[in-house]
Amino acid sequence: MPADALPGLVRFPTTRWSLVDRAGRAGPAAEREALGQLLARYLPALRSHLVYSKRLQPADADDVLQDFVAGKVLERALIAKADQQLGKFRTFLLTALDRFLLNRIRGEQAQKRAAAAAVNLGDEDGMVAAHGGADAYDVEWARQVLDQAVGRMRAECQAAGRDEVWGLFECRVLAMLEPDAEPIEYGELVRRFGFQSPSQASNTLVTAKRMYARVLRSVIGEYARDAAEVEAEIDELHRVLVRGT
Amino acid sequence: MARFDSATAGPHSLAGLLQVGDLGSWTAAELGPILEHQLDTPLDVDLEAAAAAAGASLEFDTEPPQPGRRTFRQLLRLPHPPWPLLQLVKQFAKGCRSQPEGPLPHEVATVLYLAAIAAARRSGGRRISSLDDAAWRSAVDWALAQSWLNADLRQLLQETRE
Repeated sequence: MPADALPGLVRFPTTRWSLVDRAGRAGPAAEREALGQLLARYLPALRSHLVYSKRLQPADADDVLQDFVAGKVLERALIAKADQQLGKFRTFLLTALDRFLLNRIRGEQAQKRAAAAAVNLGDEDGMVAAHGGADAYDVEWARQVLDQAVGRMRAECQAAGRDEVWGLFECRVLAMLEPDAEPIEYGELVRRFGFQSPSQASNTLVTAKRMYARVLRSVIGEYARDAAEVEAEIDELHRVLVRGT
Repeated sequence: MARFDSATAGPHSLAGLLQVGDLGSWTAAELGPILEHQLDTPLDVDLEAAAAAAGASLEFDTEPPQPGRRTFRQLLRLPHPPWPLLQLVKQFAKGCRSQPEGPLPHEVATVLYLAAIAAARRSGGRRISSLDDAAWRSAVDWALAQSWLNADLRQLLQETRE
């Protein structure tokens, strides 16, 4: 049976904005689960932003994030406001964090004027509207997305009993991402995965890449509102990463 | 093999994973091994459905007699291969050539396509292609220029060039 015929392997995601929507509007149990997934995925990106763009000490960044989550996210107000009309979720979350940080610093300044001296704040407009220093955040965000996509693909391959699809993807695609990587030779792949013919090997490789493309889009589709925005997000994250090399 | 680790991968590596494209595709150095693998592939792996549709048998005798499923290599070595089978091989190779992400690299599919035609020409001069002589010579010359072409196919194509 062709790999593409397996249920679920090449299906394009139909659920958009699903995690955001569940986190903001669902009942308590589903809300906690969705929030847990969102936070686990994107807090490292927010932390990178605080450390590398806002120059907070790592321990201070952790404190800010903890308060941000407790004060804004867990009270549902933030996620509920993440309306699809307000723009990209990635930008929305960053803006919310910047506003939270600004308010926090102002509060601290009111109590202790000198406290803000070590923090690169900028003015309020700069904090909220412009994210010229947001590359660390975007790079980390991309890392979370890709980590999710690769992990999800591996899990789907294992669940479907398609170890050769994951194995070939790992050998031929993931391995080639490393600097100075050499591909595992075709003959070795045949021996390792028992391909009967070049057709089988090629079809497996094509299946792996299509499956990965589909899974990547499903991960982004959980915070992008439609297929066009998913593609735009891929392009934008790609530009950010290329710029970061 | 170094394992990809998203936690330590640089931005350039991560960028490649956003637009996989041709990453991982077969390289020029692999065309020879892929051709050899194709030649050793049992015919039924790639041609079973087409043979059934055409009512053609994938069986034939070899000299000396050999057990097992018949392969592309065995077919192309026959002095008088069954023409219906050569037609199936040609159609298979042609189909592979026409697909952007076909099951065979374009170059390997082209060599297989030419080899099927050449085997028919060598066996009594039968034409299973509409290529005229000039086009045939040009195609054969291209194939002969491929460093990864094996000696058997090189001889087959040279014998039928004129």
